[in-house]
Amino acid sequence: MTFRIGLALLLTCFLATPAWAITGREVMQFVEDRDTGENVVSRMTMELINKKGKKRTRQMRSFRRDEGEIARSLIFFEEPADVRNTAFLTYDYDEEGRDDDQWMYLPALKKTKRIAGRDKAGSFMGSDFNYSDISGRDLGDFTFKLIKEGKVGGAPVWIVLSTPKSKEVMSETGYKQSVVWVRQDNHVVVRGKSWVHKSKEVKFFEFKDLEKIGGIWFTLTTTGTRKLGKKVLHKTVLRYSDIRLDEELDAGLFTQRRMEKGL
Amino acid sequence: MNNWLARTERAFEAWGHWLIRRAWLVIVGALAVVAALVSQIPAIQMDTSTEAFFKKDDPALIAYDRFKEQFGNDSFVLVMIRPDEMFSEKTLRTLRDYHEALEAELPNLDEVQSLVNVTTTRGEEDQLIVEELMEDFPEDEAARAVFRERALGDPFYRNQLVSEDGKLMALIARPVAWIDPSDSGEEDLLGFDEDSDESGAETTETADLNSEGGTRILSFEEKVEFAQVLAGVSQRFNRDNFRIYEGGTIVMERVIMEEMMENMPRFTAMAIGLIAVLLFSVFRRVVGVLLPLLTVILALLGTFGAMSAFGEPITIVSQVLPSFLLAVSVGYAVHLLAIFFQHFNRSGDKHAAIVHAMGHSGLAIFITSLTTAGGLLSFSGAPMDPIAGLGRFGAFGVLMAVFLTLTLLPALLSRLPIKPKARLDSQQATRSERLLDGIGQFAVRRPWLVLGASAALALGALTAALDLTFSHDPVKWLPENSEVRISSDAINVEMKGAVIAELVVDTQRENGIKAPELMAKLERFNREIETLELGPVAMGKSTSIADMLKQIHQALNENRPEAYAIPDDADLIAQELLLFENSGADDLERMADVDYTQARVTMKMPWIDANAYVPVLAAIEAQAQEIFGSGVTLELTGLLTLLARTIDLMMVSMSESYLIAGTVITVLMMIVLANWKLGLWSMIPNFLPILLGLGLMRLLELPLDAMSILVGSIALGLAVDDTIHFLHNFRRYHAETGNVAESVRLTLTTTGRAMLFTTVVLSCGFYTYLVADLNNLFSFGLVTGTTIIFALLGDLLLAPALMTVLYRNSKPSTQETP
Repeated sequence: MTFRIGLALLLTCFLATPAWAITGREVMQFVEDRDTGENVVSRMTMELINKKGKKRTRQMRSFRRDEGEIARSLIFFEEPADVRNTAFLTYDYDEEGRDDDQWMYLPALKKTKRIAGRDKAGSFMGSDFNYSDISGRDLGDFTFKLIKEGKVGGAPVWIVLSTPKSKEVMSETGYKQSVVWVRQDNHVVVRGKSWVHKSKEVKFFEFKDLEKIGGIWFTLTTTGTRKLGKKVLHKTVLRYSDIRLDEELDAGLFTQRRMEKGL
Repeated sequence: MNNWLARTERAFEAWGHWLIRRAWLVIVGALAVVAALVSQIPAIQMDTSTEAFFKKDDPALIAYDRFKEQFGNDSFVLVMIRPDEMFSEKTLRTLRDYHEALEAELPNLDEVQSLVNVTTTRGEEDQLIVEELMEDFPEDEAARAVFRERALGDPFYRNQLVSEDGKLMALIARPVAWIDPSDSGEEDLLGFDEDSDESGAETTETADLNSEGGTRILSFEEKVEFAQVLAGVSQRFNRDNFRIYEGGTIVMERVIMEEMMENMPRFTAMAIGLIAVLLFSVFRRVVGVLLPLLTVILALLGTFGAMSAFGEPITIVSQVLPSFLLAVSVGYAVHLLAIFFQHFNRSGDKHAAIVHAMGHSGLAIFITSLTTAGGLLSFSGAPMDPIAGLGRFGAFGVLMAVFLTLTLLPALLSRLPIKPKARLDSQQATRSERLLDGIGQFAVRRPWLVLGASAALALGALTAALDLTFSHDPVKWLPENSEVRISSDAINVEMKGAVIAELVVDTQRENGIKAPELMAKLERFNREIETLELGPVAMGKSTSIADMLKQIHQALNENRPEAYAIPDDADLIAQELLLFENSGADDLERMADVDYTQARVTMKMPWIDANAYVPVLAAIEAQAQEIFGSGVTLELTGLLTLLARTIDLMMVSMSESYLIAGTVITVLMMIVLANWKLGLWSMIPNFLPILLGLGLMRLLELPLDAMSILVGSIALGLAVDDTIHFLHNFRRYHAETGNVAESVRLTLTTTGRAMLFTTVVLSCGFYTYLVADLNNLFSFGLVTGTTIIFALLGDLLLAPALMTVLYRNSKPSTQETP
């Protein structure tokens, strides 16, 4: 029943849609091609808020270097004090089918461990974002449909529905389908809505406080809200600050030894 | 006869006259009332859940709901699987297919957990592996050997997903705790809070954080549907080499509901058939069968309509309502018709006979309905919700029946073409009259013998009754060969049960549970409580965040066995937990709250009688107090605490209702008899049968459960009816004759027959439950039916004996005080 109503709505939606000058796939290619910086250093403040409004804050220092084939990132925890210098090092490969490599360093244990088996559907640092939300997705795994144009905060946007091509992609990313709102002027994703795989939960994402730093657009505040119907289950607010693009990040930074040295 | 009685009788006669004049108006009016109520029936609901025993504001239920909001559902279906060979390729494939079929088909599913997807955290050289146990299907022998080793080697799985001896496995299917009925997820593609307004989304969401939105706790019907779909899927996979046993509260609730749906129509039909036969044997007229049946069936339908309109579900207690109401309320019509036909057959004047019957029996019928309703209403304040519901709507039904008996029934009589008949059953009547008279005269001749024997019986019954135990064990209600009972017993033995108690340890400060001392206490509590054995309860697995911490600590230390322990470094605990959060497993959410202020300890134990849980909960509480000390607050909740609390509720409900019913009915008797002393004396033949009924229960080793605690008050409300009829007539005849023996004879040979008949109808009505599949219905029927018979004996023996002693020296006069 639900499925049929959904289908009917979808069909109405599509049938009523005029022939756009641009396809959903092209919009997503814009997003993919947008310059997000090669070397980015930033401070991340993560607020985790539960359904009762109880809050917990973490602060991290993030180093990221995009080499095209590989995106390397190193994250150090600064706060809370008991996890200070706990670090995660990640190599995200562009190559299709190749899993990420991730290492983690626990200063209290003085040991580095390679983390295996973690899939991208897993939560990023206990937040409402999945690794797949952070590291980006492979466009070839999805079909895209431009379903509407609209405005967000006065700026014209394209609204694109993306559907995984297979069950595997669903369980890998953790979502059965997603809709994103993409600004037409700068190709920044400003909103997202994702339907959680094997669940009735829906996640809402908002990307705000757009700022141009060194010629590149950054969204300084990102909110992820996990909802069941109208009920908020959990919410994460991620704030970026001290963004610097001018630091030289060499390959030596993204090593286990550097990670073990701490901040 | 005092003036009050005479005046009321005349009023009832006047009412009879009016009814005859306005018969059509009365018929249409009464039917309209019934129709309005009946129109509500389609919306009626059923609820056999444990939660349904509680009032919405019961503190235990509120604590339980709060717990569910924090940590999710603690009720689940536990499926135990007995394969012919545990880790064969075939078994593992079937397990995987079964697991996936459940994931695909179960509605409102939170999660299915089994060896297929349970998280395994282990260390291999410099690697930390966090993955699903069956990440890849073990295709060859070697892979299966590794899989076997991991499945059996992890202490966390034992008694949870694998049995102690490693020969059985289990699967847990958990429905969501909360649901949003307006859940638009799939349909509403673009439904962001506000499409074009930038600030709109933020404000709405913040507001949402504290509101419930349209969300509500998963309903009983949805839980039953969950269990039904699960049963359907299981049936497809169940075979000799993959034997599936389902257990857990949700399954129990489903089966009891299915039993109820099967039982209720059956017992209603049986009661109707039985009453029809008995009615025919008394009146030998079609009208004598149809009119009383019509009255009681309409009253029953009206009652269901009223229940539906007030949102009262049918529960395991109120399922007796149909046969109960039919049996109880047919008596009113019988009393009226008996007098009507007597007069009508003699005089042939229908209208005069109606007026006479109304005058003669109207008041007695009205008063007896009040006492019955009073007995039932004594439950209406009971802390156990289904009992309170039965009280309210049972009383409603009785009053509805009496309303129809005193309006619709005479109105229909006046309009139906009925011809007088000569007495056909004189032979039979004489026989039963002789019997009744013989008993009565024996009591009049030997009053002290009767009184002495009664006192001795009362003493014996009281001694036995004090030895009765309270019980709440829905599994035992099911027949011994019932699939669910077999499964539940097997799960009790092999997996140490499927009932959960939850302990919430609240440190009152952020990160409180990350402290090594507290983690160590959690660990100590788990291991010590697992060894607890108290009476029939041998505790099963107890788990908390400490178990997960140990697992991850071991994995980070190259799987060394000695590292399966709580680290004593607070920072390390914090870092290991951070790692676990990052690993993407959502298990943590179920074990601690977001800022690590509270930890949850989940204890599993066998499903047994709830009364055995009472000392267990006390022991758990004491142990927790001892281990955690005063620095934290402890709250014990979970379904098990609800089950244990039902015992408390039963005791309170029973004592309250006995007290209220006893008082209300005694006061009513004093008013009716217009004599407080006689009112008090008259209660002796009423209290004795109740005592005997309780004694009988002890003799047959039947427990006091949610239904049998009702026997006393229900029987009292019914028993006094006969006493009222007896005393009402006795005093009338005594005033005329002044002779106790003669008055007893006259009473028993006139009203006595109606008393005998209503007793037969009532006890047969209750005895229909003797063929019930549910054992609690069986006991309820047996004890109530027998108590009703005791009550008649009380009125035939004890009441005349008492009257003989009380009226020994009084002379015939209009003054009746003994």
